[in-house]
Amino acid sequence: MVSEQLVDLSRLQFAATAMYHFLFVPLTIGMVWLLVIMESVYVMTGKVVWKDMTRFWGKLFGINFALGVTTGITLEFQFGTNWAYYSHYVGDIFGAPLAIEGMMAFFLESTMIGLFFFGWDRLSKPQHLLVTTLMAVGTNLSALWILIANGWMQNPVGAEFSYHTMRMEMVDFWAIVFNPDAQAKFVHTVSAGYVTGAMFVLSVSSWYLLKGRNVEFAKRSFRVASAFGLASVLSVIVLGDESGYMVGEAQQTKMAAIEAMWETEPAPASFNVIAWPNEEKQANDWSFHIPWVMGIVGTRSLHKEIPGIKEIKAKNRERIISGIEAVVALEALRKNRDDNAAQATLRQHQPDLGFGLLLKKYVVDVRQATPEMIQKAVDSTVPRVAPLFWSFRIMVALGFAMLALFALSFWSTLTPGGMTRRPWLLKWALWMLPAPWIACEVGWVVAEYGRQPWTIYGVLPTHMSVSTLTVETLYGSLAAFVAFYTVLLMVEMMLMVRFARQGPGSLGTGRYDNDVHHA
Amino acid sequence: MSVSPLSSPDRSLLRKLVLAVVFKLIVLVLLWWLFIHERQVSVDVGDMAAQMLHPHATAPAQGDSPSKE
Repeated sequence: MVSEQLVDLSRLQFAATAMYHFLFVPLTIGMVWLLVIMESVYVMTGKVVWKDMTRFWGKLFGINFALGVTTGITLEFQFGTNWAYYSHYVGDIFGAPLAIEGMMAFFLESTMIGLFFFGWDRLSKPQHLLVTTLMAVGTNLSALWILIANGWMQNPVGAEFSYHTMRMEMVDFWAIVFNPDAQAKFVHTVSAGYVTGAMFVLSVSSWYLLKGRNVEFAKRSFRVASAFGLASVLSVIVLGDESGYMVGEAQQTKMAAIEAMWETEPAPASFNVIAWPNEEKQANDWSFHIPWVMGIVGTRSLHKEIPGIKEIKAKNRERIISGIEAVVALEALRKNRDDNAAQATLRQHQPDLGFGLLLKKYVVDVRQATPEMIQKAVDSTVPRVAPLFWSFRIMVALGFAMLALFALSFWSTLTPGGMTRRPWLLKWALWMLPAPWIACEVGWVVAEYGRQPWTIYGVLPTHMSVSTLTVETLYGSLAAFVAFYTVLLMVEMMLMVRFARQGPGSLGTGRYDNDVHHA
Repeated sequence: MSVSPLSSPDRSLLRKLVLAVVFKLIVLVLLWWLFIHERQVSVDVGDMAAQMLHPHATAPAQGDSPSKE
C-alpha cells in the first residue's frame, strides 16, 4: 500500500506548483483583451494616446508572459514522475487536450506575441490589431483545452474502463470537449482572468491619478478597466453560479462540503451564509442561514432536495460494497479473460469500481475489508468541510467586493469630475490589487481540494494515482520547485513595480511625465 | 517602413526578459536532470493491475506487455 505521506507530498507538490503557475496565468488571460480594446480604439480613432496605452500596458503584459511562460511545464513533469499510475489509467484521455493546447493554442499565442512586440513598425494598423486579437484568441484557447482536461477530472464523461488495458479509454471525444463541467469551468475561469487584468490596470492607473502623473493617460486606462472589469466581474458571478449548479449535479460531495450541509433539508434548502463546521460532531456548532436560497441556487427549483453529507455517505457505503464486487470480478478477469460470469458482474458493478478501490488505502485484498475499514472509506468520500467552506466564502466575498469597486469606478467615470475627485475610490482600487489573485487561488482550492479523495471523480482514488517514489525525492524536488518559482515571482514583481513606476514615459515618446528621452 | 529604435528602458527590459527566459530554461533542464529523468516511472498493464488488485490476481494475463517498472 502507498504511504499516506507519499500521497500528501505528491499532492502538496502539485498544488504548490499549480498555485504558483496560476499567479501568472490570469493576468495574461485578462490583459490581452484590454490590449485588444485599446488598440481597436486606436485603429478606429487614430488617436496616438491609445497606441501608447496599448504599448505601455502591453509591456507589462510582456513581463508577465515572459516570467510566466513554461511555469506549467513542471506540472507536466509530475504526471510522469509523481503520478505515473494516473497517467497510465487516464493518459489516453487526459493527454489529448493537453497536446492540442500545446500544438494549437500555445504556438498561436507565442507566435503572435513576437509579432505584437516587434511588429508595430512592420505591420499596418489593421494587421497589427489582427495580431493582437489572434494573441488573445490563442491565450483563451490555451485556457479552454487545459480546462477541458480539468473538467474531465471533475466529471469523467465520454470514456469507459477496459479490463484488457487496465485503463480508461476515450469513446466520445466530443462529449469530453462539450462536457458541461468543462464549459462552465472555462467561462468562469477566463472571466476571473479578465477581472484580474482589469484590476491590475485599474489599480496602477489609480496610483498615477493619486500621484497626479500622466493624468489623461491614466483616466483613459481607468475608464477602460472599470467598464471591462464591471462586465467581467458580473460574468464571473453569473457563470460561477452556473459552475456551482454543475457541481451540485456532478459532485454532490463537493457541494455538501462547500455548504457545510450535514443533513438533507426539505426543499428548498437554506443557505449557510456563515457557520462553524464541526467535523467531529458532523454538525455546525452555530450558523446564520437564509431560508430557500441554497435550494433555488443549487437545483434551480423549489422542489428538489440537496442531499446532505450524511445521506451522501450512506449512498457511498452502498457504492463501496458494490465496488468490492467490481474489484473481485476484475481480479477474476485478470486470471481468465473469458470468464463470462466475471464479465457480467463487472458490467453490473463497473460504475462503482472506483469506490471499491477506495478500500485499497486500508487493505490489500478488498474482500478482507472489515466494517471499520469500510467506515473509514465511507468517511473519506467527503472532503474536509472547513477548508472548503471558508475558501468558497473568501472567494465569493472578494467577488462581491470587486463588483462594488468596479461598479463605483465605472459610475465615477460617468459623473462630473470623474474619478479624480474621489481619492478614496482611487485608494480603494489601489489596495484591492491582490484581491483577484487571492480569489483565483482559493477558487482553485475549492475546485481541486473539493474533488478529493479522487483524482478522477468517482473513478480513480488519489492514493491509487501516485507513483512509488521515495519521500526524500519528493522533499528535494518540492524544495527545488518552490525555490525556482519564488525567484521567478520576485523577478516578476521587481520588474512590474519598476516599469509601472516609470509609467508611459518609459515609451520615450516625449508625451508623458518621466520621459526617458527628456528626463 | 522604418523601424523605430527601442528606448533605453525597453532595451534594458528586453535584455532582462531574455535573461529571465534563458535562466528559466537552464533551471528547468537542471530540475529535469536532477529530479525527473532517472525517476520516470513506467507503468504498463501489469503494473496497473498490481496497483489496483490483490497480488494473487496480477499475474500477467495473455496479451499483456511485460512490466517495465
